Amino acid sequence: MIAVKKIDSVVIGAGAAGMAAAEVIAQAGCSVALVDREEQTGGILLQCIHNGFGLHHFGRELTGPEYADEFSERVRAFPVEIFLETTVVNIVPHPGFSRVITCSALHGVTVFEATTIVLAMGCRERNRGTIGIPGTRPSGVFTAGLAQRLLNIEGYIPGRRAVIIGSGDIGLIMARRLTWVGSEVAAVVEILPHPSGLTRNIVQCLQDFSIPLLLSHAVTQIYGKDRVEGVEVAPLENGVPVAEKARIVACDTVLLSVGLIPENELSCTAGVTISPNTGGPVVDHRLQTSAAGIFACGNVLHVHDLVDFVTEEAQRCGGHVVDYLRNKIPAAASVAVEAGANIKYVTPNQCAAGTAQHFYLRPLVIREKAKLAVMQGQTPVFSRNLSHVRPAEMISIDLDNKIMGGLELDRPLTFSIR
Amino acid sequence: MEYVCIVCPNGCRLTVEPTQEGVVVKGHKCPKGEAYGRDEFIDPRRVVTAAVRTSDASYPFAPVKSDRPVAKKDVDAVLRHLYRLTVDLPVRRGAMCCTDCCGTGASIVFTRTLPPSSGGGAP
Amino acid sequence: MNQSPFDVAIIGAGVCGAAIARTLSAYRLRVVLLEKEADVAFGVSKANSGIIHAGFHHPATSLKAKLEIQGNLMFEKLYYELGFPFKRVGVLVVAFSEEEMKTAAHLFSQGEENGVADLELCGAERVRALEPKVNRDAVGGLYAPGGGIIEPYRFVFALVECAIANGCVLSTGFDVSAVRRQREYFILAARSGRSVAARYAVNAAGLHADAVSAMFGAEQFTIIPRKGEEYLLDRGAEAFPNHVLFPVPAKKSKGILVIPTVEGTTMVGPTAVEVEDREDVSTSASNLKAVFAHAKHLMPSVSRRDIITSFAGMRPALATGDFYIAVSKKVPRLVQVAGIQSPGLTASPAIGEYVKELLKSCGCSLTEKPHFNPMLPKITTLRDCSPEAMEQIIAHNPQYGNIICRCETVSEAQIVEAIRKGHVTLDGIKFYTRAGMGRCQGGFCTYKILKILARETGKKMTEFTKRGGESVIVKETLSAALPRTRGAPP
Repeated sequence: MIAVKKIDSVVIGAGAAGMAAAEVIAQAGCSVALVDREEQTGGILLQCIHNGFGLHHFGRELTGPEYADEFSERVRAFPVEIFLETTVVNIVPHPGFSRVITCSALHGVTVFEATTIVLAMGCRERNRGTIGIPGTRPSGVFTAGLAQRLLNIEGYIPGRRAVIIGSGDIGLIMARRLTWVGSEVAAVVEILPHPSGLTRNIVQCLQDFSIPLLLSHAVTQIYGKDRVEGVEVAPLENGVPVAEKARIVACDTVLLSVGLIPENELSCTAGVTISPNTGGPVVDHRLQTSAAGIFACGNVLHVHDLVDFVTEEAQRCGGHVVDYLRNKIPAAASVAVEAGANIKYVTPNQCAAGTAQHFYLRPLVIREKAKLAVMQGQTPVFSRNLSHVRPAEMISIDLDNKIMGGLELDRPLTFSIR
Repeated sequence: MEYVCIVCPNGCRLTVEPTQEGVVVKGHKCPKGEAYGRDEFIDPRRVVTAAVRTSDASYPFAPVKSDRPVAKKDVDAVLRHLYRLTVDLPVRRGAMCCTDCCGTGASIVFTRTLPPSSGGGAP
Repeated sequence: MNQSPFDVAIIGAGVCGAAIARTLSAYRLRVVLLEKEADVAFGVSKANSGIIHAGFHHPATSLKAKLEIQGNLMFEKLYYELGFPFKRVGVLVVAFSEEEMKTAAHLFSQGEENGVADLELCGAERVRALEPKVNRDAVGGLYAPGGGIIEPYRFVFALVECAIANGCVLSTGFDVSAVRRQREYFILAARSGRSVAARYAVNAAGLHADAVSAMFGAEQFTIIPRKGEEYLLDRGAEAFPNHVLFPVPAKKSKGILVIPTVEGTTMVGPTAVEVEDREDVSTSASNLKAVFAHAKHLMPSVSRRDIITSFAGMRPALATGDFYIAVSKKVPRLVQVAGIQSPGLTASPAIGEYVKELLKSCGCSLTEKPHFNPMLPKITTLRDCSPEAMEQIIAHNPQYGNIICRCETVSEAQIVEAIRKGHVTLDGIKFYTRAGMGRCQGGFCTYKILKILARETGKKMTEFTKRGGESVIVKETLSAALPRTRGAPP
């Protein structure tokens, strides 16, 4: 017989987002199940054994496992039912609840009849296929995260001479880790004219070891029959690789750190609308998706640069779930939110006039001394001077009750950088 | 010497030079930047993180860190030491892995709690 | 000699070798299937487009057309027996001008002459009704409901598995490098030092059939490798068509197609470029552009954004353009199976029968086995199962409850099954189970599969490869770590 459990909330994914949301929901006395396919709570943080997490949230520098452990202990202190090594295979919405169908070796099939769901599945890495690097298909091509898992948790060195494609933070961190285990990093190749990762990682992971960072360069070919033997690297001029200036860099390993994609295939089974800008669900001011009672937070909603922001967002999401469960009638989402000049996206996608709102923005440009302007049509609503703007750093903005109270109904709120 | 300050996202380009009056830092926008430049010049330090082998197959490696930054020149020695260690489970987050590692004054602590052994050895 | 002599040695475990092996396994023969790669279907067959062609592309006089038509009609029975992914979705050739319509009309009459059933010459409206998302500029086309799609490697795996279950011996990593004769036996020696003896030999060596023929001292011919690049689009891609979509064919190939796969992904390709190096299965940026330009012309919603992976394969073509399947005129008891390019997959079951007859003609005695079992047990998967069915499957074997590949919903039980059936490389497991074939391309499941491999085989993780040879996944354990000082001194 299939076990059917009626429950207030199912949180899918026990990483930073899921744990923080589950804790808040349980703290309020609601019944909550935290479901994850891995053997432990903590998610990807567990393989990020380097430090640099938690400065905003904890006010001190932690490693990934420490950050994860803090929350693992907190969810275990509350009556959160934790289902590990359990995969959600389907979500079927019904009026007033959703059926969350899970399977595991231990429990077989368990069906939750959940009043609310929190989507907290995180994201996946873009890979060779998604960015379409031509060449042969040898072994030795890894996403940076897979290499990190193999090295830091399983204890295997992926290779002895690596080229890292993309200067995202995971790639930079892996450059240092590989050097620290005695492998050589021949180069980090970045297609953009500026690094994608944080300055501290450029300094401490590349400059400390004199690892060359090739900006405005692309890997145009991967060579090797069985195992990677080298890559062709070409400089870009006007965005196009210059074949005459290409050179071959010998290596036995290629790591890709070329961006993350919110993992929303499950959200789609539930009929949730996905935003083309974030790759995550479209959400209202309460982080509720287009499906009633289904909420989203963390990297499944949009890719964050700091786990501290994931925690913040997930805790707010947990609060909204509790309000929903307590039948608190929320203010209507009456104002659409739009990304204006130089902004890639703003989340949430809607807000309510008169209700204080937190926004995250992803800029498209690099600027020193810029101005963030929030407008309704031609009417300025809010502005802030920013000393420094870059795509790698999310902007976090709180608009208080007073500002939000001044909004007109049914006119979009536009965020832009000038 | 030139450095990029990593204290905040501004990323100030610092120039550090020894003079008769001591080390002079230029290019910083705040006192933290000045201190960073001075430290990087006189005594650069880094927190070391690593994975230490365990005697347990379920969790073959346990993550660790130095409880304070160690001198950059000592990082290799600390890592070499850590790669040679094998620890038994369980370990507790924050518990000592080794004290005053390689005479650096820094201790190595576990950064994750791992449960008791299930038997079997690491690869 | 490592083993007692065989009646028949088949060189090459691609789709032809596999189909021949299964056909012969119904008879009282000792058959050995030799494959130079680490697993079967790892050569030409793995990069096949997976199309069961309808039979109108080639003239009736060709051996190709004859075996294509015969082969096409054998798939329902094979599907029933072996359960590989197969759907008779139909194929549609789309014409964009009156000139192209003339070619379509020619294909129609050629197909009629070949005996293809239910061919239909369509006008623009009919084409749009069949394929609503096709380019609006289409003026008509040719519809053949008898065309279909299969997963080519799964088909080969199933054929080989069935042959093995009926007594055929498979030897992978057996790279035939020398042939000599001893009385009535061929002695086939592998580079590794192993050797087998067999009275009859079948050269189904694909890209290397010319080299193998030379080793026997048989006919001289040259395989002309023709490369094809293919791009795979994610499930749910807008461009997923109802039928296999063809343009009106070009001289040397059938053109760039838009193909719905049985598993719900969309494949676009292949290119057709003659190359020097038979092993050069690299893709290129310029071909990617060309493939998408052509595919978009057929189906405007084809988008590069949906690509999950790309790959290239080789067609082992002959200058004649036809298949060469015959008993060697120079070397008695050797059957040549060469030049098997498209529609080789479609023709393969008929090739199996044809080769059986050729062997008979040169004296091989065929007595049916009384207990030949043509059936394979169905592969169990949780994907698309109802919760009730899932619960039953997991209750029977809890390893089904542990999902290893999230993108393709592949359970630990399926990985274990693949390993126990001898698929011990990452690619072998991928082709058998689909684990690692989805949108994350193994980003999440690779380490899990390696751990299961280590547990099931008792080997070390550093021993496993992507597809044999030197294609190891991880090189060393962390025990070999030593920090590398490369930095400028402070």
